[in-house]
Amino acid sequence: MRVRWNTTLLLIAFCFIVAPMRSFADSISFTIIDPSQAVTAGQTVQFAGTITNGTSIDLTASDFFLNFSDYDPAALSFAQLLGLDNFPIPSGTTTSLALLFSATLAPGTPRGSYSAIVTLQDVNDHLSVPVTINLRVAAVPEPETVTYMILGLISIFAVVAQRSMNIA
Amino acid sequence: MSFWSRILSGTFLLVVFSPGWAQAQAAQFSTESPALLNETTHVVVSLPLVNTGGSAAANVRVTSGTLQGAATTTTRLPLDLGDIAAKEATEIGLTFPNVGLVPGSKHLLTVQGTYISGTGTRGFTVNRFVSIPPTGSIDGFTFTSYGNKNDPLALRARDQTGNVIDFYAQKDDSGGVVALTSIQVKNGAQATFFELDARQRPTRIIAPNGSIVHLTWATDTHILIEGVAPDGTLHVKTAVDVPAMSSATRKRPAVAAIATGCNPASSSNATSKITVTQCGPPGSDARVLMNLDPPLGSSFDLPAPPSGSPGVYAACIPVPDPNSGEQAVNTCKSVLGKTSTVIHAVCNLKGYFTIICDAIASAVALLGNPIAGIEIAVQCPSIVRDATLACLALGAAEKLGDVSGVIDAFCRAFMPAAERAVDSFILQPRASVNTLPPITAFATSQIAPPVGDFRIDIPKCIDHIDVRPIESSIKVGETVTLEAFPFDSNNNPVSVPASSLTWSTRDSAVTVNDRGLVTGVAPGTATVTVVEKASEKEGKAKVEVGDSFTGSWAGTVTINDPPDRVRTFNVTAAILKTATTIRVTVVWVGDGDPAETRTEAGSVNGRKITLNYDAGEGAVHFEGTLSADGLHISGTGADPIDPLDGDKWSGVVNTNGRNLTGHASGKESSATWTLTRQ
Repeated sequence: MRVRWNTTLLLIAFCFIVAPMRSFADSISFTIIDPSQAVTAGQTVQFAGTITNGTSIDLTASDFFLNFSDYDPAALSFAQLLGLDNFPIPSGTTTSLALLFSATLAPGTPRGSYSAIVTLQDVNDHLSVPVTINLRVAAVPEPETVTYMILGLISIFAVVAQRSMNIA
Repeated sequence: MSFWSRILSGTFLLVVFSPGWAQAQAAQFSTESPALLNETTHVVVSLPLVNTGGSAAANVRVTSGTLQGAATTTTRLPLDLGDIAAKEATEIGLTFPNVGLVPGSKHLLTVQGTYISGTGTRGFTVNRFVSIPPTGSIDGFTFTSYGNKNDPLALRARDQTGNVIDFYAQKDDSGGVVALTSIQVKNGAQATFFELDARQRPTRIIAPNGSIVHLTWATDTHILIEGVAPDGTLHVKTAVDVPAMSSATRKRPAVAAIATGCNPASSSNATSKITVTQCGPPGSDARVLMNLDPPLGSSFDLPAPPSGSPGVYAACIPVPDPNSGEQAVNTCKSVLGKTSTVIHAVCNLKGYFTIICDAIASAVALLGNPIAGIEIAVQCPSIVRDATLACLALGAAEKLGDVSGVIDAFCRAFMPAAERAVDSFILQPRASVNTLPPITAFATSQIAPPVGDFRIDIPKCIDHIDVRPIESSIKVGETVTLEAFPFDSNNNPVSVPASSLTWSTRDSAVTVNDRGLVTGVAPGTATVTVVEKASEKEGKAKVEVGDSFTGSWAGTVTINDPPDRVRTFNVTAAILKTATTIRVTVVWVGDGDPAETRTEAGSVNGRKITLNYDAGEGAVHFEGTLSADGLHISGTGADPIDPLDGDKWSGVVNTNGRNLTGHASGKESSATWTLTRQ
């Protein structure tokens, strides 16, 4: 039985690690620190991460392009931030944490999870392994709800304060 | 479930639901290196959009684009690209304002769009920092003009060696399709070799200098152009984006007629105004509908004609002159130098405009009043079947000379539809009155439904004339055809009729006919001059005529060696003459013998030449003369091996512009040859 499970685990490793990477040149790569973020409709959030230049050519940040696919165009839009402030990314190095791009959720976007596939490309048309990001849209409290909530908090604080004074 | 069944089913599920596998399968977009053309006011980007995913993307559309934050000015958005298969690319063309863009600097290009996948409409955003090229340059070529379908010169590319490739576009009214109709290469002749696709659109052009231009029709109005210089080192890749023809313009019932001419006072081609008038009741004054100041080559809509009218409009070109006013109704008068600011358009008895006078007056006035003081007064004839003849007669009566062609055009254009002899015509420049530059008339009309296009084309005066080839080399008796290419001061080509060009030379080395055909008649150098009669501008070309005895010839030599032997050799002969020497090299191959090369040097003294040629069996002493049309030598020789056997040789060699012929004979054999110049 142990032999069988080892075989299965090897297959799993193959499927997870090797198979998705077969189609991509692995000379450049990137990481996203927080690929899944909670946002509200109409909000713009920024994604940061690192870039690894595994090619043999010294590049700069503006030699890298971020491409976005497979997202809901009615809900999401993206803007590249990487490269607007240019800095060198020599061959064989990984950058420190840098702003990569921003994502904006359209106003009125209903609750749910919105994903996109992000790919890094360099000026020599190397492509990274794609990374999926997620934006989770939480319910936005309506103004009346917020008002009630604030009033409730004030009431609680008032009660607690009064009790404290009484105890004292 | 067996062990292997579990393994396989587990593997299947893992593969299917693996996030990485799903990413790889989904359509994803990236870009490839774009081609940029930086024009005076805008940047044209031709960007390959690649589907790098593992599945096809259907109904791909580009919905927006920005360059350094500025939105594209391409008006055809969204761009429908159709389906893009996995790993396939398609090219998109976008135009951006180049305000704030710094040549040599990188700016962020962003293109957004949508496509259909298995989960519905999905979005894509691709980014790329692009380097802005210097104005008007791309990949070693510089571009000096970029127009649209209304601008015949759609694109001009100039490579690093100064070669100019001009792309000319012309609309095809039958389908609203824009076609690149010709390509010209400076210092070369008009390219004539086109490969056409199924829709008769050019797809491949080979220019005379060997440049190869590939044309890919992304759409009917978007042409991707890729050109390669003859040596393969220069490469141009760009796109011509031609706006679609306005359907409104095409369907408006109207007839337009424009008279144009050279406008020397204009610093721009777009200064003339057009007034569109509409016919009222017979005999009434025309009513001005529109005053327009369109840019050169623009199209614009015309209002529908009033109910019951013949559906004819007139358009004339007024020339601003505060000293004059409207001329008399029914009789059009325009005194040169006192041009009118008001359109001379009236309605004749049949409700048609009579604009002939206006056209002539405007055209003449636009010429800059070169013949001030001469009055042109034309009574517009009734629009009847013989109107053409009447107009011609009027033209003659008014001493308008070839302007009658213009009158002819307008008369035919405004004949009643039922009596109209032609539906569409374009008059090429043919007018020349004294010092008047050429006048161009352009008019179209169609019967049922009447359709018309406005076109205004007022070229500037001829500034200079290029003659191509600017330098050429021929031999005596050979010919070369020179072509004249007039340009205005903006280096835009100006069309002139061949009849307005006069070719001449003062040098005796060549003759030239009235079509620019140059014939070499004597060794030397000649300057050929072409003069455009109206503008008196001239262009020159240098033709060098070489003597006809320097060069190389090849052919066969047959030696008859009686009684029964005939030997044939392939012979190459090269003759190099200097002022004092002549060198002859002859290579013989054939008759089973190895190749044999003999080089003999002779002397030249003035026009006399002496040469000893060792034919192997005896030296032949040649003497001869050099004449304008070639070499004529003859000589004799004796067999050195046995000079007493009486075997003597004699021969003759003649050259002309084409052939080297000769004959030699001895006591026992003879040879003849005709070699052709290589």
